[in-house]
Amino acid sequence: MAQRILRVDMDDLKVKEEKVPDKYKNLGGRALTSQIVADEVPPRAHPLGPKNKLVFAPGIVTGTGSPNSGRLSAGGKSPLTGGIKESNAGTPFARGIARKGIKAIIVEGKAEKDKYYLLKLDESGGELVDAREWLGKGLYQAFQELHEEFGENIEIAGAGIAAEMGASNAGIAYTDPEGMSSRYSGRGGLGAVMASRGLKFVMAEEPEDNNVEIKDEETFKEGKKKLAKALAEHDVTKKDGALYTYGTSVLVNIINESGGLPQRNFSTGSDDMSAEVSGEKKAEEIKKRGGVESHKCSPSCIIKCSEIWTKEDGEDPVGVLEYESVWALGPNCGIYDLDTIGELNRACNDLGLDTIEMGNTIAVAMEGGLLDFGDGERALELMDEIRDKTSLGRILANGTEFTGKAFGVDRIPTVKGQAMPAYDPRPIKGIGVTYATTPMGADHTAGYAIAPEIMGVGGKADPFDTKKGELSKGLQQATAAIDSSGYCLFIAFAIMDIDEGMEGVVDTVNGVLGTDFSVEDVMQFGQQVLETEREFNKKAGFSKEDDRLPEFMKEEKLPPHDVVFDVPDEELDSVWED
Amino acid sequence: MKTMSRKVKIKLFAQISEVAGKKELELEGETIGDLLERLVEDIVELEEVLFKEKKARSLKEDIIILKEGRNIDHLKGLDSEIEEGDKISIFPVVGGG
Repeated sequence: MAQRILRVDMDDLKVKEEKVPDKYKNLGGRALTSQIVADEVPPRAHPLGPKNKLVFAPGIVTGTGSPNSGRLSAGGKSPLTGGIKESNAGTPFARGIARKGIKAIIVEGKAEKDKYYLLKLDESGGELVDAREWLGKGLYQAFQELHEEFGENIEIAGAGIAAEMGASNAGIAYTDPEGMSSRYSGRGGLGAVMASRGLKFVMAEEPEDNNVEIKDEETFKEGKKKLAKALAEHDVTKKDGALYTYGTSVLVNIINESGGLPQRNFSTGSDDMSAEVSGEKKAEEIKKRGGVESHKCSPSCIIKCSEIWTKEDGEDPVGVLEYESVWALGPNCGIYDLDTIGELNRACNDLGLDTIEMGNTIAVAMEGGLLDFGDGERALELMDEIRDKTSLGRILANGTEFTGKAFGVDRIPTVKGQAMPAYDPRPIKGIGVTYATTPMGADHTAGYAIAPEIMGVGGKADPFDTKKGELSKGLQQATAAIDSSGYCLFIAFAIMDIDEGMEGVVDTVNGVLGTDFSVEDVMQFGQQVLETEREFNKKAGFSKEDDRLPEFMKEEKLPPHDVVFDVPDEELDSVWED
Repeated sequence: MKTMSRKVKIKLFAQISEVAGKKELELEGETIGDLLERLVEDIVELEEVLFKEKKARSLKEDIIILKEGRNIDHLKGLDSEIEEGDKISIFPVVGGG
């Protein structure tokens, strides 16, 4: 079956199939969502209005048997940043739609007010059925009911209660391999874009035949072998390596010891209490409780950085507790208890909220006096305010900047309206350059300078050095390419150090597409994606003055290193100059 | 110039602390290199974890050592001098995000 694009018209509730235009033929994932958004969404459109669109696109190699290829991009104009957004997730849903031969799903228009639909993908395209019975229900329960009604083998993308309110921090939840709503296109409020079209769920069952076409099997196979070998060899990605053994929150200790783990709304970069919520501590607890360690988020993964966190008695699984989530809902709120963090994470997964944004929101509310730092019990009650759609809940669900304004806070850690992840940019400058300059708003994954600055992976860079424009730019280009390929960004740890791994990525992409890209073309491909995104943002009203960190980070010294963010504006601007 | 031995706290993390069977210890030395010598004397299992070869004494590439939160790669490596009360943190290479 030839690959196709599905266009879901929410105005007249029709699903149309379209041929893939030549211009999109060699794109996938982020490159494709960003290009379609740039081509079809007016940059000044209201993010929740009828002119915005939501685009899903599996990556180029998604659905093949290549390792760590289970990624999906969601894209649209972000209600949180007001700019273009791509939010990338690893989930079996990605493989489900890729194997149906779907290159992209474009959701456009708006259903009648208060009507919500479920898009059921089938062989002939898809149909929209009434989904109002799931309104106001948590996503764990909704996903379970959908499985009961439509079969255990379906994979789901869903918008939650936060999205029903049009909240700027509403993400899109996807099924994990257990069928729970723990995998996310969390960042940037795309769940609200989905629900504002009247779309509540997308459902796909993986077909018996794999419709992902591989044009050059030999090249693909060769590449797959090279990549698998690099992943198996590299210290970060290998079996029994740190990611496999402790999950992503193995970073808690090293970032804390480096003085860059933000605590109590970015007031200090280190606190001995953080060891209580480290990856080591979590792994120890999971062993005791009988959860699952070294778990894969999607079928093709061989890194296995995920896990299943449960309550103390080993019951009520939450899903993964990522480093970012643990930090945001933990140390950044002065909370040093994994069980409280686990329940806050459960609430985010259930309500359809991004954990990074939510943790920052709670921390800013703490700073504003709504609750005390460290008060996990009250933080959990705030999640119920969102569940009950109260006025306070609506404020909180709109994110960190909105909440900061509501409570008169002047220390708001956002860029372009999006809250910062788990690395303070004052003692780790390169990640600050990425936060400032990526078209996505503060986003660590957009150009992960932590790898060279803290881990010494992909070269070694002194985190205090302010000359980081070129480093961030290179990382942003490589990331834009990986996010388009369908590979998990964590392959970067291996392919930045092992040349054969990088060749493997390019070979597999060439194998699928029948192209002859070289390793040298990768950065150029990434640059084109970034330029498309930058151009959209420019037309949406952004300028280089938006490529800046918040004022307090330039004025207030962060203990224990007692440093400010002192990268000159010219260095930030150099990222986008020729 | 006369140098003096200084007492510092060493923190071990992830697989390194599992191999060592402890998370923290106190040792004396003048440089990071000294400290590591004493560390592997104390806990012999760490020798092959930390060093490439027995005699050459160069650190394995997958080891990260912080002195007061600064990676010794950006100080003077194993020759980085230590001060009384410094905190030294030793990690295997980790990843995530």
